[in-house]
Amino acid sequence: MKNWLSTLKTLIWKDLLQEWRSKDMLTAMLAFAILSIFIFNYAMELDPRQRAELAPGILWVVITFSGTLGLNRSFVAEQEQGSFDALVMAVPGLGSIWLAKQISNFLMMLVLIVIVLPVYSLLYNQNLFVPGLLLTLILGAWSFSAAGTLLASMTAQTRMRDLLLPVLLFPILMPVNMAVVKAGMGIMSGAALASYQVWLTVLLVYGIIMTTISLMVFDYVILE
Amino acid sequence: MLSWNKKISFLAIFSGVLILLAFGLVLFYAPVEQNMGLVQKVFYFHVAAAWLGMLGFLVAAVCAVLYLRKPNLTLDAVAASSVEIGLLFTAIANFTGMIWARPVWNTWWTWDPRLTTMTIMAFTYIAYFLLRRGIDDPAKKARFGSIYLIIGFATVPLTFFSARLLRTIHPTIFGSAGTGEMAMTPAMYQTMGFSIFAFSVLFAVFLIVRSRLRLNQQWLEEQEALEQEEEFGEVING
Amino acid sequence: MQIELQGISKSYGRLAVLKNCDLQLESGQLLCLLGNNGAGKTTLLRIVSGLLSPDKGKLLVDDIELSLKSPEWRRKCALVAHKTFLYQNLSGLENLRFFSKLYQHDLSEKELRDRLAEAGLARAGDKQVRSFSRGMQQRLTIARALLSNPDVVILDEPFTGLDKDGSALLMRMLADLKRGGAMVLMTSHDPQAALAVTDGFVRLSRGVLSEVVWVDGRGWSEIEPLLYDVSTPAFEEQSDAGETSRSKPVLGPTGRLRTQETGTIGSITTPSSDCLRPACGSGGRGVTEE
Repeated sequence: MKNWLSTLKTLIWKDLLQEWRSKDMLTAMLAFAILSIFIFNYAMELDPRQRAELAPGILWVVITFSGTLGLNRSFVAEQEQGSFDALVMAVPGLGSIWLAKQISNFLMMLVLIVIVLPVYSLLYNQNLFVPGLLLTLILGAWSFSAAGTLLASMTAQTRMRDLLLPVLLFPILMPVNMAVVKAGMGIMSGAALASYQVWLTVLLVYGIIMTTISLMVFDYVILE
Repeated sequence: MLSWNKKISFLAIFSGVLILLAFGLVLFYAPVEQNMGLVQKVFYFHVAAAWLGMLGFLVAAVCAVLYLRKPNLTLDAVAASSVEIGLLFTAIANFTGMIWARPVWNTWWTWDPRLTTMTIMAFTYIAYFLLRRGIDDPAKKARFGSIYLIIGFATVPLTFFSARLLRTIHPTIFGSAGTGEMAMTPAMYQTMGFSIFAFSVLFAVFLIVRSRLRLNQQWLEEQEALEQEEEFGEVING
Repeated sequence: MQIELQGISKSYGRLAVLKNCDLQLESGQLLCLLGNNGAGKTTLLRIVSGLLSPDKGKLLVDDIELSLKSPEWRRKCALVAHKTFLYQNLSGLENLRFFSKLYQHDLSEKELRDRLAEAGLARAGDKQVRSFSRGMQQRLTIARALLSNPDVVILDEPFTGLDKDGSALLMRMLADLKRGGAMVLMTSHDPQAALAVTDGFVRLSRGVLSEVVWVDGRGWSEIEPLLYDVSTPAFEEQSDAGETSRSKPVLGPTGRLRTQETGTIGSITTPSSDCLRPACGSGGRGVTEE
């Protein structure tokens, strides 16, 4: 257990250090996210009252679209110089390779959320720092990156790579999209917890299912 | 003993007869529904096609799990063929559904959970073929395909559940009552049961023929690779 | 320690890449694997390192069976392949530190720097690998692979990209490894250069592994004929290339004969995998009735 944790920590540290050096992923994700907030403004001519209702939906679209950009990059380092093989030979339980990548990607998503939320709040003069919304987004981000990390580990090994990931990911992600948006709308309109609780459960169940499946099948992604 | 080819031919003819019989039952045996009129008759094929859509994906998911446990390219060929046929019947179900929905719901498309789920599922399986096209190595193609089928299939119930939490106007035929309930007579049930049976036999025929075609295709590709290898050997050593 | 691979076979569809390969290795031994492009060398090395599962065959470690796919086995091995396995955005030292932690060896800063110095990278250690030349990357690749003090070292063309100093360095490292009791399996396109360190040669030809030809202080000119044994079909093909340029029958996988334009029709005996071995004596492939 102690060894397992230290392996996990080492793997995550490597991802974060790499990202810190290049900042490829985060720069692209943030730039795209903020640009899309601007685009939404002009595309939808949001009036203040509609805005409150639509905010969770817009936020989630912005977060998932820019998140996909990041996911596409997340296995580049492993693919570029074949270090997948070196990891496979060094790490006893292959699931931890997936879990480490999932945690790094999840952390990336959190950074994205932490930056996008205040920007959105500032631009639309609407306070989005509501604990319930934050919780929803965090749960959603875990599910999003769980499905995304597994799929990205596969698409990274195909010919079409970046092109393929969104096409594979979004149909799978449908329940998450519905749940985040519905729960978010409930929270922003000040409804009672009971009215949107079920959506939080959906998110939780999805996250658990996707994490379990990924841990079970990841061996088959990297071992031939 | 009959040859493999002959058996399939017989099964194909048998399924053709069954389908014709089903047609007959729908046209002449099943009564005309009072509220909806003649257009309700499309429902017998609609339900059968939707069932086969689900069945195709179920068969594929089972093959995918089996493949990961013990790799065998035949299983992969069956899985891929099953998805293909499932997609075809999903399209038929959606199409017949639209024909029915236009006069009954007064719209071609609605964001009904079953409709939404089926369509999203169809997108998942189209993505499955895109994934396969991006991979050259047959074993890797089969492995990745299987993984995607498993996660795709695992999310279907959640998609359906979520879509259902949003409003529904689709008639519920079995079980709990909903809006737009349909009262079915025994003749209607019999017709529907027969139609589902006839379509299921058709599905089996399609699945066998398509899987064999796939395996033959694979065999030919391998043959080419082998011959190339042979020539390559000649060049290197000769 | 002693390992034994028995009956390793691997095919992609019906294309057999490895046919029933046997190989034995003992501590302190270094074997050099020879073979043409496409002979299956890389496939064999990947199977031995546990990255690719064979269709058939087993591994015995000190006469006890161990799964080639087991993590315990993978962690005993080290692989230097065509790709460097290095993280380009990390420095040389960080790469080494990362892998030493993964192997739970936790070498100290000083030990890691010593490893870098051994590879002749003492001054470049803090630079990102991205800025390294091909040769420097290869040196780091080798240093990284040896970090875990592996029992089995597998090297796929390790001399690629190395300059004269680098090659000398690698030679020294290989000698050290042998002395330290590791077993080494490497491929090389330059057997004469490998002669200085290797204990023996094996040759892989179209999926069939030859017997080991031990060096025993002999020169390459003595070893070569043994490896390319006159009886091996590959050698026959090589020799008759010079004689005549007659049309060559192309053997289909089913054993049916297709001929090119000149239309020499003849029967052909399919070279069974057994006959491809040097021990098989005369005549693997016979074209008759000209």
